[in-house]
Amino acid sequence: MTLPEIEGDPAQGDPPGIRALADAQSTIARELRARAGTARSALVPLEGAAGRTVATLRTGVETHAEKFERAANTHEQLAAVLHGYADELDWLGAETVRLRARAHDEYDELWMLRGRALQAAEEDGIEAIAVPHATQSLAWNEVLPARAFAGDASHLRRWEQAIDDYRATARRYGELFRERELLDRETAQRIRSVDLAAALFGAARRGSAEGRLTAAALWAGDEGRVSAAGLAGLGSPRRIRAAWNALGPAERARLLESAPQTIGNLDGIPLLDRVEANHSSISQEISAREEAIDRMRAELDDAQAWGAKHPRTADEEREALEARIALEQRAVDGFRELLDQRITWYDESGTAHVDHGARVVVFDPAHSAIATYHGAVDLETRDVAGWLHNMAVLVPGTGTQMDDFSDGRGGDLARAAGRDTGLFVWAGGPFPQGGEAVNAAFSRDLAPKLSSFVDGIAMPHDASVTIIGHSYGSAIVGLAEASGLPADRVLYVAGAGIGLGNTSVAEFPGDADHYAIMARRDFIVGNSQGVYREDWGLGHGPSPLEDPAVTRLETGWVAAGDPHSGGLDDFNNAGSRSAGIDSHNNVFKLGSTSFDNIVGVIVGGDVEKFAPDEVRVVGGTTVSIDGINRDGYSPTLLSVK
Amino acid sequence: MSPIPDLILNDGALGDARMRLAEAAVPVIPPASPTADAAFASAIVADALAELCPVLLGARTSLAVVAAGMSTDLGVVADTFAAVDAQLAGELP
Repeated sequence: MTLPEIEGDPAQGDPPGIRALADAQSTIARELRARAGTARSALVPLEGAAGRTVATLRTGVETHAEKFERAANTHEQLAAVLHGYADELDWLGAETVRLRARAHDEYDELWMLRGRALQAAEEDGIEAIAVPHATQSLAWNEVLPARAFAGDASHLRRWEQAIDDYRATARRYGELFRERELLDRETAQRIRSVDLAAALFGAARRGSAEGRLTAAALWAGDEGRVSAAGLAGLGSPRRIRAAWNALGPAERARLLESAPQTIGNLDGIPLLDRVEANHSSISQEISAREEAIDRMRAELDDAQAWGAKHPRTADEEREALEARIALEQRAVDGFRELLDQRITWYDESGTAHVDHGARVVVFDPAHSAIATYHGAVDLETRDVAGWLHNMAVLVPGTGTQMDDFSDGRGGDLARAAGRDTGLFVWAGGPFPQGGEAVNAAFSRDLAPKLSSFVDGIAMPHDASVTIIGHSYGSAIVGLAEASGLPADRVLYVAGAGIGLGNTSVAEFPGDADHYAIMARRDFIVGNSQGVYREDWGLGHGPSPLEDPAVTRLETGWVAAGDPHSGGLDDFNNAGSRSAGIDSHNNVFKLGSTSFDNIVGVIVGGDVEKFAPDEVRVVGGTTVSIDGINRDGYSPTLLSVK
Repeated sequence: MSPIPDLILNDGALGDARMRLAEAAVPVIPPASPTADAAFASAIVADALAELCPVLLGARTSLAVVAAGMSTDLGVVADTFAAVDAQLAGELP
């Protein structure tokens, strides 16, 4: 019989089947406990024996037996959760049956009372109601109007009460579905909270299935089953770092050799291990590109093939091929240069070390990603030296390519900042080229990668962290900071903006101090700063120069402290006539006021505040005088902390 | 008795311990049970279990692998001790 407003089965499922699943978990638990006992029994024959071998074995066996027991406990917890779930479903099933039966009875009662009421109404004989006709269109939950029961209204009251009773039961039946939903959610949560699940899945429950298997293997001490993909699947740099540190030297060497491209780019892997892996990847990349060059050269030399083509087509294709060869060769030269670099660094005692090859901490040709490190390292932890006082990450701008990645600017800054500073130059993905710079999509893609990279660095505990964005890099830094990238100081150098979608650095989480520096007549971003359309994804949000929460610094002189060297903003590079274009990069000019100010922000020293320009009207013409050229100018110093 | 404490184990103690560890290394296979999806009639519960079970299986497998490794290592130690004992007893050159 169909009962209105009562549909479906809130107790759907198979409690005996669930109990069978629970029993299976209990069986596993018993087996595991037996394994623990068996492992411990291995120590019995060794009782009374002394010596290092036995002591080591005893510790190892005991630890392993405890793990068997912990796994057994986990399966027992799981069994208990499933038994509890089956019990709850049984209760729900009983309640479902009870409410259905009650609803059935109440529905029958309702129809009986309805029949009696209709009969009474008909006997009252009120023609206007046309009882027989009205009856046909009355739904189960409708009644006749009260005036139909002029003689005795008690029939109507009982009829209405029967409808109300049935509805109350139907409502209670509906509540069972909500209770089931809650039960399912809580059961899923309990399953996810059993001991080993909580330990192996990580607090944030991120990562891949492969990552979880790797976590399980590591927990059991089975290092041989740890894969590079599994490490990557752990889901957070901190977990990756902990897993890597738990591996022995042999396993690390195996992973470095078998999967350099994964390990070299995995945030959380110690710096020198990444460098080792990336040197291997760079060598492989050089070989691959040289082979490609050889193939193209062979193609160029194939006179017969060229002869078969139309002369004009042949010329065009030959030129294109030569251009490709030149590009590949440029990349090969750049990569070889990275491998050939000699790096001098100093440890805490001041002893100089010379390493061969740049510290390439990201090298991923498939994703156009590269990054380098300049500074001291700890040969024990194979990471950034823990005694460093200042850390910085420089994010470059438009035109950055891994094929001709130059980290010389980073090297200059690191050297100027001193031996207690470590600095990364990071370009962790495709950067815009030329006109693509107006597109915010690159910054949106790169910002989370920057955050992950910084999160994966083992920053020294007492070091300040400065994030520097140059040009387009400022937008990347701004978006990353808005999403929680931690920093003590942020510096926008000739910044394109603070990131599309942001309104002010004051709204960013964290408590970083913000600085900006840019030449007065920067032609590259000077005209486009603050021009953006968020709905079109164009531009990079407000200019950092206009943000009251950002302190603007002075670009000053070509040679810091020497007015005779001229203003940096007007400096033309050799062969160039456009200081406006040159100044976009000249803010990094070695020895300039600007360069010193950038270094000052990194190390927390004294910097020069921007000197506002003076506007004069001379002979009816408005003239702007650079702040540093005003009469009686003297720099306003600011202490960066 | 051997002058080196560990060497008294040559009389089978190490071999015995090794066998017991090998026994502990047998993987724990779950008994046959009904399909979880059908039993639960709840995707959220079935998914939670489907997410966890392979990881626990991986952990059990790894525990077995490590126990087997300990047993093998112990075998190597036992063989070494046997060789040393034999040498001390003048059985080997």
